[in-house]
Amino acid sequence: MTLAVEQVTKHFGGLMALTDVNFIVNPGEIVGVIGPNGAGKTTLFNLITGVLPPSSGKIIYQNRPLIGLKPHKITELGIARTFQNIRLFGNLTALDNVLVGAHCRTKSGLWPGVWHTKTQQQEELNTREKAKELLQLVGIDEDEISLAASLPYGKQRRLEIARALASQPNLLLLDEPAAGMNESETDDLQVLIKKIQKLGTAIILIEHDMGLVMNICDKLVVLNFGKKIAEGIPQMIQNNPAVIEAYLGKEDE
Amino acid sequence: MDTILNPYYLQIIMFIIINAILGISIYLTLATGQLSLGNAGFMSIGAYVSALLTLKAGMPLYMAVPLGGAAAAIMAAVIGIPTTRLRGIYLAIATLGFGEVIRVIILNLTITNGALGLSGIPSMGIMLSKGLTAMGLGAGIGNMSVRQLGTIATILILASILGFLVFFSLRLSTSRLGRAFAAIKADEHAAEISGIDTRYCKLLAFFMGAFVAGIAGGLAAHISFYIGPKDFAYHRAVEILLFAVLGGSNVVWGPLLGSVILTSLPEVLRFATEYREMIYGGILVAMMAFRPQGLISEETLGYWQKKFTSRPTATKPIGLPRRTTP
Amino acid sequence: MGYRASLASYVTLLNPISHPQRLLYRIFSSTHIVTLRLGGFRLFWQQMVNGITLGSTYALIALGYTLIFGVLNIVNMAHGEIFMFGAFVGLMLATHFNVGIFGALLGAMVAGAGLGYLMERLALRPLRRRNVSELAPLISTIGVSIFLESLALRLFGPQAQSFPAVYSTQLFEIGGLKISVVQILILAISFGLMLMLRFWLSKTRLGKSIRATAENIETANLLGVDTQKIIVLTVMLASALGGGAGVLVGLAFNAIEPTMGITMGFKGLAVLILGGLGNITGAMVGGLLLGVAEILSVAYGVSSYRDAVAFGLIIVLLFLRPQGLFGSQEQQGGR
Repeated sequence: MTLAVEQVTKHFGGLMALTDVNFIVNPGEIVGVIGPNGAGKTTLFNLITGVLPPSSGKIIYQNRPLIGLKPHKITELGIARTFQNIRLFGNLTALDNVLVGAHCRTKSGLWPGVWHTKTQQQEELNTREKAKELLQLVGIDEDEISLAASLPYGKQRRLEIARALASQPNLLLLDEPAAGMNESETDDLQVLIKKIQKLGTAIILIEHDMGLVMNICDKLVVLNFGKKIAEGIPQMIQNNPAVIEAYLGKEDE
Repeated sequence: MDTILNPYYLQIIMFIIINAILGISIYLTLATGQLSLGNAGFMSIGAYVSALLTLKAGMPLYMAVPLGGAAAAIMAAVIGIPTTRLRGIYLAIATLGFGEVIRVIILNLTITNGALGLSGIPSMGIMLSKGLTAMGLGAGIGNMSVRQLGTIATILILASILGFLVFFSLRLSTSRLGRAFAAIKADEHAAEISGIDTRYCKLLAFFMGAFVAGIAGGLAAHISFYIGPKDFAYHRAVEILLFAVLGGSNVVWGPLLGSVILTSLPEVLRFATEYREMIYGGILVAMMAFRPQGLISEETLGYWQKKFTSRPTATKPIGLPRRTTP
Repeated sequence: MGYRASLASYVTLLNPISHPQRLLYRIFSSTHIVTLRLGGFRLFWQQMVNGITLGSTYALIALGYTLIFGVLNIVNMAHGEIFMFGAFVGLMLATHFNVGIFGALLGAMVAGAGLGYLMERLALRPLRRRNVSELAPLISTIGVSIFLESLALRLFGPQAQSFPAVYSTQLFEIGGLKISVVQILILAISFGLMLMLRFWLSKTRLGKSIRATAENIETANLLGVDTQKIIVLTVMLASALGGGAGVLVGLAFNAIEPTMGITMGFKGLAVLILGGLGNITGAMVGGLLLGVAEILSVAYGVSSYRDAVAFGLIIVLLFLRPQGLFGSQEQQGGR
């Protein structure tokens, strides 16, 4: 078991963002979290990454409760995420963005960095090599030295994924990675996510693009108004009446 | 020879260097996106501690100044722990408030001589010329007296401290930690999610800035023979801020340029001396309105780099970056 | 210096017993408990009156900060200087044109509003067009404050000046406590202005537009509010309050000097944070609290650290409860 979300509830004042949400992510699984806007999906990510504490319930990662841990510690343990509204370091190059992602997997401190010790230089070389490989994996290796803010939207999304991968996560949280992408870009994204799965990383995917979701997810968790209304393999969810009702009026992707 | 070695000009050079060091102190903290307006306070701690050590305890300079810096750094560590939790405005105001508290405390302690300040602080130049005399150079070199040699030695020492700080900053900015700082500055939350211990980094930057400001204070105290609480008031904090804002707050060369311009301006323009504060205020407003990143930015450096080498450089952003510094 | 010395003399002047402060302190500290309690009790309440009077001026200043923070989300570091200019304009009007206190007050408020307008137009508006960090407006207003302070030094000179003695130092006695005409005036005008402001903000259309803009500027725009005008209006209003407060403080301490802007500015900042950024009630209550705290610290012997009371408060508050007494959690100085 990679991640277990147990009876997690989160409320803000009187607003119940999540109520008794339960699900499990197994190693190497791709779990899709879907539901109408406002269903609490991003809040769920915020809870898992330690940004907010749950009001009640537990989140267990590899048999270790995540309650009370700071976000950077959780990343160190092996959970990485991307953001719904892309949060790159705009004035840093693409390569630097990925290098930052590798921060918790490297350890050169202040003085080794200043004096350029052999260990530090070697670590820099290694980290750069790995970062370039990641850029290649997501397909933006030619933009290595471009400033992140200068990249077109699609490449920015992929860069954010590369940055998240740099921390060598066991669990990757993708928040609407296909938002704003056209069909061919979405196909590329699908290939990329599958590649990441092959590397052994489990993935939780928040998405509205049903085509993508149905194609790659091993199982789906459906949230509506903060409650889980269904869980199962994509084919079952497609025909689930509660799910259809929740999405009533939503256009086909 | 005599005009170059005019003690007045030499003193100006010394102040330019010290102001540059102060500018770097604020640059270091700003590298993580934190605006600390308390560096005048840290500077005063360094100044008073080192001055008292040399004046009352007869300690040699090379011990007193670093100890002054250490005292400032310890203070920073203490108030930094809660302070670095704050963001933006709150941090600026808290550090400003802290600077004022320090000033009031200095004003009221007997050991610091209150409003009268400390005078008769041993001058670095004189101490060095005494050392040179001990080394047998009592008669000077050529037509430079040993006093002048002392002054030159002072400038050399100041310049090497500055040089080291520049080297330090440059190395830092291309290192893992420097990248972490830049990430925090660009987007603190994203930086934390990327695995960076933002609390530690911000505290470290704050600590470094305070130490450097403390060192600058210690050096300044032994260049002017007197220090008083008025020297470290709100105006000083704003002046230090100005070096970075004018020269450039993103790169270490910025505060250097800012310090050169602002320290020498009153000497060059009579007009500038009289209206100094008004000009400072005007510069701050104008810079924020027209060029918030300061005169020298990473772009400027990249542009000149491209001109002189054939190395490929980072491309210009299409849109405005997410946040323009500071 | 004049301003600081005046605070001590202000406390002494309005002390019910005509002995100088030091003597009082010594008497109280060495006498019997009974006498101490009696004298101390009266002294305490007397100082409360002083404190509330002083505090009401702090509250006015803090209101200026609060209003601007509310609509623009910035701390106007030049507010103290606008306050100081108001005091001087009022002084000029009173001494050279013999307009009397209310004329001086009005003139100060007009001057304040004018300065506020210029500041908004020249220093703040250009920043809104660009995508700048939240520190840029702060730095810009620091620039304005330095500019205004040195301008005042050039125009008015560094010496402390005082208002002509328009009102006698006659003391009224109410319930065993003495209160001067000036104090009554200050209390009346400050509370009057505050109440008017509260009423205006909650009942009038313009006031509601300001609150809407403060809450969410995009939504306000969508609802048809001319947010640009509202912003200008709010800045002018806040600065007018600051200018008015300047005259009141000038009356209270009878000493006005160009550097009072910085000190008062800090005090106002302390109140702003004490009350919770952008919270009107908080600003009012906080101002009164600070005034009382300061007066008590002078009366009970720690006067030389008086200025540090405000600053120390800022610091302690920011660490323990950054959202202030009344602020909401989201205003916290955290993420």
